[in-house]
Amino acid sequence: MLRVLVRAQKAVGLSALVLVTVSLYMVFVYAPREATGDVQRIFYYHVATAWNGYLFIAMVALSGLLYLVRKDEAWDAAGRTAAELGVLFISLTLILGSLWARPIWNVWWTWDPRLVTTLILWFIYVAYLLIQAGAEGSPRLKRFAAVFGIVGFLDIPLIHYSVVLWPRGIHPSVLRESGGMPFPMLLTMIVSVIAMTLLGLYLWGRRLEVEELKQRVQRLKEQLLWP
Amino acid sequence: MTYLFVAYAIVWIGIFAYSYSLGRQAQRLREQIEALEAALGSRQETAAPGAGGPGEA
Repeated sequence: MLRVLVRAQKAVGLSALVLVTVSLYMVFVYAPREATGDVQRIFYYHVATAWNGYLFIAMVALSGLLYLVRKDEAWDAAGRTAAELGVLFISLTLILGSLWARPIWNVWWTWDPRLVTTLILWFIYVAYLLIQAGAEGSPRLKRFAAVFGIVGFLDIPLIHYSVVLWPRGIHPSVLRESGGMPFPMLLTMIVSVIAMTLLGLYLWGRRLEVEELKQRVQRLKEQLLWP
Repeated sequence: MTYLFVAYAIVWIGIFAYSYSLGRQAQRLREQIEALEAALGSRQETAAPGAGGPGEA
């Protein structure tokens, strides 16, 4: 599956380019202006980057599980590369949320349960990347990173249900209230999510290709040292 | 409007920066592969005359 992603890079990248252009048109032109003003248009990419963050964190957990079961280095690399993208998208989600909160809530940050659990998720996977950075050549640390990546994933249901568990939070639960969302807004959100997902998969394919090249360099160096 | 502009600018700067760094890494690794393959090739060439054995004499 991962090899397919590397080989189909150009097709995925081209589809992402087309859909991202369409999504930007929809965000800025097609979607109606909401009562809170144009700043609400941040929401479309906020949701799309959050979805991508969750998707890649789920990939880290799945890759970790497969690495523990099959002991295949390819799954370790898949987890490591997916975590990079997960952290990138969660960072963007937090920044976009903050830029939306400033004009709407009049604060850059508030200790709302959904915001805090998302920040915890970011810290978990930054820690995961740090563990992986030091795990080169250490199967024990790689196994530890895999378990860490799986356990960290448990924060995602916590983020999702934080609105129910801590009802005093102020983060809007747009998807739960999507019955009230006008169709053009819903469609813009869906297109933005699909566009970002394709872009995320394209970047993952490129990152996996870098990993393949690194392994090739390693093999060639070994051939030169020990023919 | 400023917040909206800054938000989308950050998204695209972040994504392009990451994409650019991947391109640079891939380019550097491809150059390394070329150099290593050339080194391996030249070593095989220098080893070849001696590898012929008694039949070549």
